[in-house]
Amino acid sequence: MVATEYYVALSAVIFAIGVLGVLTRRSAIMVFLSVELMLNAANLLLVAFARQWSSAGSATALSGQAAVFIILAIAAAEVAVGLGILVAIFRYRNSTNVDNLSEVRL
Amino acid sequence: MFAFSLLALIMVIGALGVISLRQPVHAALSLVATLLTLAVTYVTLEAHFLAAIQVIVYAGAIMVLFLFVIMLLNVQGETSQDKLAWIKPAGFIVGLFAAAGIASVAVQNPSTLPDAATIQAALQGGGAAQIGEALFSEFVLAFQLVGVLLLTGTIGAVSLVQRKAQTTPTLQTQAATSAPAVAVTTPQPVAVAATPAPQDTARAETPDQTTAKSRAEQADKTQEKPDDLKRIKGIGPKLEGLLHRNGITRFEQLANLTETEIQELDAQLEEFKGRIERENWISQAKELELEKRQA
Repeated sequence: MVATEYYVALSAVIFAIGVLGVLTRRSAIMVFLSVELMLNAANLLLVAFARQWSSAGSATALSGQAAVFIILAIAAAEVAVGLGILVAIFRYRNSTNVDNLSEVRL
Repeated sequence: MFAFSLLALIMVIGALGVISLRQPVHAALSLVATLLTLAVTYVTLEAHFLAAIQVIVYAGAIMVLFLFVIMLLNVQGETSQDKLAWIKPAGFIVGLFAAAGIASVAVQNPSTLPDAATIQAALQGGGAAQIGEALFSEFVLAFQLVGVLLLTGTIGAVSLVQRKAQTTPTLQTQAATSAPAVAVTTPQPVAVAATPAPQDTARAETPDQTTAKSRAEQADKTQEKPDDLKRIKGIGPKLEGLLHRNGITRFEQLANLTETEIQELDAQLEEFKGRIERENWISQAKELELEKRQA
């Protein structure tokens, strides 16, 4: 059995790669894909800790997995709205470059 | 341990592919690889139901939506021009710190895990029945709220995309019907289209300067204030400046451009090439000009 620390480290690496992507990519779609990476890193952490906590008492053992289930549903809603906004922006600007989208900036 | 190493390796390579591949489609497929590997990792963590959901919802539905949008928008790879040059090294440093920080905490506080049998008994294999029990007892409020959220999200996404789809065609048809009207009711001879032929040959030699100058002269002659070209959909502050430099300051000038003039102007627009046609600037300009005269 692989220790939880390894899963935490893997999750950290994936999350960091996601942060890197959000900061460095300029296309809104690529930023979006990087956000998905970060979400999944968090999910991996929750599942790994669910296994860790199952030793403490079975009452809360599945909480982590149930939380992942809810996060998946939220991610689906987020992607639907986000891609809708992306399509709307693309129609208006003909570009998804986030550097060009400064209209809302104060 | 071997299985974990292999899965972790594929996952990290996939994640690196997501942020480094230039073509959005390649990056999306790379993310699919990461998500599928994550599903396998869930199986090794006694979460069988979540593994199935991960494949169906994430690697299936969500990624198909992503690929759909990427192909619908025909997004090309990013160009090399970089507005914020410092952001890349800064991003690397932040990412490294994040990874090192979290990983060091994980390694510095080791705790012993119970044996596999205890865990399997507690999680009961992470099947649908067990998760369902947790969802409908402890997480029932969250479950209901997610239902509301999904409904709101669906309606929001549809309305976001739909509204534009309804307005654009009607605008275009109106512009098409009003196009001859503009040509007929033009009272002053300011139409650039009516410039004599000799000027055309002169323009062929040094196209950009002469056309820009003649257009600027036309604009001066009429002594009119420049219009807000940003009202044309697709023209932002940057493009407006570019048009001003080419001598175009009013809707009327745009509305009266001939085919060859459009092509010449298009060549001056650098990275915005092709936008005149694609965004129907001419018909939009006619529309706005008509509006201005009626006001």
